[in-house]
Amino acid sequence: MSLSIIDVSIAFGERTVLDRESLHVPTGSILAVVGASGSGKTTLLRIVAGLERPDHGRIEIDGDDVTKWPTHRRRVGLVFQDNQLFPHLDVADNVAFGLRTAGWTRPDVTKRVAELLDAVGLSDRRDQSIATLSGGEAKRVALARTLAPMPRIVLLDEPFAGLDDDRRLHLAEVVRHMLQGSGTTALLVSHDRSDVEAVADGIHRLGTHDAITVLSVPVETIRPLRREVLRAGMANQSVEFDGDDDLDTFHLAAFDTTGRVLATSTWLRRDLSSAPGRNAFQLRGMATATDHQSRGLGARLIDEGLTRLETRQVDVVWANARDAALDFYRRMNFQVHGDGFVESVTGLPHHVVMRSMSGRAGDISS
Amino acid sequence: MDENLLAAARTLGADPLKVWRGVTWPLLRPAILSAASLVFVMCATSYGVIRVLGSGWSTVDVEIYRRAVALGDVSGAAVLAAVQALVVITALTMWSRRSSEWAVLSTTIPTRRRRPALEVLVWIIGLAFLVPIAALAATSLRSSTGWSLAGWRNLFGLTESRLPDTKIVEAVTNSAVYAVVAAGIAVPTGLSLARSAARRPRRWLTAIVDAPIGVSAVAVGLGILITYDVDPIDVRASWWLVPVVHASVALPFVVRSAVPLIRSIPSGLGEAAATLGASPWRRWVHVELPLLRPAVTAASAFSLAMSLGEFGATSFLTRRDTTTLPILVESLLSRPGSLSVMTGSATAVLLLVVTGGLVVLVDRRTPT
Repeated sequence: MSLSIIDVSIAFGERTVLDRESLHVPTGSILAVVGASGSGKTTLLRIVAGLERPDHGRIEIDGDDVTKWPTHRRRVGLVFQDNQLFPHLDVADNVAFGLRTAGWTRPDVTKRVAELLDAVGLSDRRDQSIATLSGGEAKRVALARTLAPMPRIVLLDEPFAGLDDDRRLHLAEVVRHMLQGSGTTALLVSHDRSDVEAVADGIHRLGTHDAITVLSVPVETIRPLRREVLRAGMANQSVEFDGDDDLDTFHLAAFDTTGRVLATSTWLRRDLSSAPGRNAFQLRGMATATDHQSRGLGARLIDEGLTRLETRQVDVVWANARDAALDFYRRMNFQVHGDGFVESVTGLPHHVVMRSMSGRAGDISS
Repeated sequence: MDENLLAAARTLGADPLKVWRGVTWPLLRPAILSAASLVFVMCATSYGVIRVLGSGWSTVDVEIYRRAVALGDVSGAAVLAAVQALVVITALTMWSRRSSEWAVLSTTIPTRRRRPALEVLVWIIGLAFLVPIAALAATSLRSSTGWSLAGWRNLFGLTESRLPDTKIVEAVTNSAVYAVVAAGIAVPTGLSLARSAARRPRRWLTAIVDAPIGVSAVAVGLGILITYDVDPIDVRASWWLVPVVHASVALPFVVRSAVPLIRSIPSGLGEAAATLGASPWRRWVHVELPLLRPAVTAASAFSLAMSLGEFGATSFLTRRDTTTLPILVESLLSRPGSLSVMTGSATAVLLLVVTGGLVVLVDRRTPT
């Protein structure tokens, strides 16, 4: 179930809270929206949930325009910042609320509630009053309650606010595990980027008027564009790279609001023979749709990839670049290294380019 | 008022007098003014107490009744009622201008500090109420020849009544039926009004809901009598007229007791239920209603108590076969003979116990 927010604006009285905001979350991905307090993060979630009606723009779920649907028909779950657990129901009944609403049978409800409480580690609390829960436990109950009826989209409003570091890490793990395990499409908002980096596949900054969303995606998502761009007119149509499925490998894709993949890149842990012993990543498969060339998408993907490498103690990033693209890499602070060669699959002249992560470009080759 | 506010003022160096002048008084002033206006309005329209206390004392309401019923001067009574309504509505309007918030009927400020002077005052006021009630109970058991249960037996219809023209059992039944019907009208209406007022306070709504507090019940009774006296809207003889009037008298109390409770329910809970797929009807039944249970209890008890005790409007609207307990008390106590006084006192004690019990129930069940 993919989610598109298209050109959404809302004002409360004189105050414009969201101004032409657009983004896309493909099926099964987790996108974080960050922004300062008062930047309209919560309002954005409320619009997706149907709790506010935007002045302009629309919300699409799997291509259906749901902008005018009432909240209870959308099947969009929301974990409220203050949880909003029902005080008159115990833990299990809170989790069961959405299941009963959806008309699940009693044995199914019992089974599903047990399953979710187990997943969030609160099986022993099922009959307790919600007043007895700590902040972190209440948050986990709220998460279980939201996920129980298998919503099409899950929204999380500042899920880690007000928790100490240990609990935050633990909860982030639980959230990531549960969302990924169920393949749920999710949008979470936070005022602090570092809070959500571990959980999200991508980060969208509010108020940038950027309609392109960049996310880590499974390799299947990007193969069609690889084929279309990198293998255009070639006999060899194979677009499977060695290491595509390695644990450390990640694939970035830039989406427009229709969910179309406009540009991709793949980042793999690969040593560079000329820089032995250095912790190196190879950048491969840079591809931009032919009708979106020269719009900065390539630079955007490289920036996003480098940001993701910051936490991985990487010394150097390198690529085999087509000679036609050398100027682009130079602009991105890559240095051309060694003699050129002809790449076997494409038959085009290439050079190795590299960029040091520890300082300015040039540290390595010198 | 939050004790921590006072503590904050003290930590900022304010002595007790400065705390009072700078924090306590400004915060309490709206509540005091609104309480004072309410007391003024209630006293200005006092009726039952004055009528029972008897001659030598008269208020506008008693005079309205005397002119309309005893002297047959309906137009004179109507002029009095109109003038009184004008004064009281003016006072109420000033009151609602001053206090935009809804007054909370019962709150307690939890504190560990004991206040002996306050406790003594509460005991004195309590005794001032309790002693007359005890006297009433004693009177109900005291015949001219000694102690007797005759009054109570009369009340419950255990003996052939020796009081002509009194239908005690009918009065008990009527009061009970009227109270239940009035509650059945006032509680749903009041809760809906309270719900809309709690979410978005509006002055016109406040004014309409509060009108029965200000406009005296006697004037309401008179107004109904002289308005609905032509066919096809001659409803004066309809059995439901009394409970409808009772419901309108109870309405402000229902709304005022329910608003703070409804406010205390986070609005996000309904939204949370909606995101879990609950339709508006499901949200009402499974989230709001269970959380409103204390409000429903309080509202029911209030409107039952108000209906059981209503005297002013009822005194205009009841006929011999539709009399209620308060009317019966007044009529029995104003007759000569120890049996009627005993029966009247017994009836009054019964009323007090039932209405008092209902109010205690409200206090117990209302979370603070």
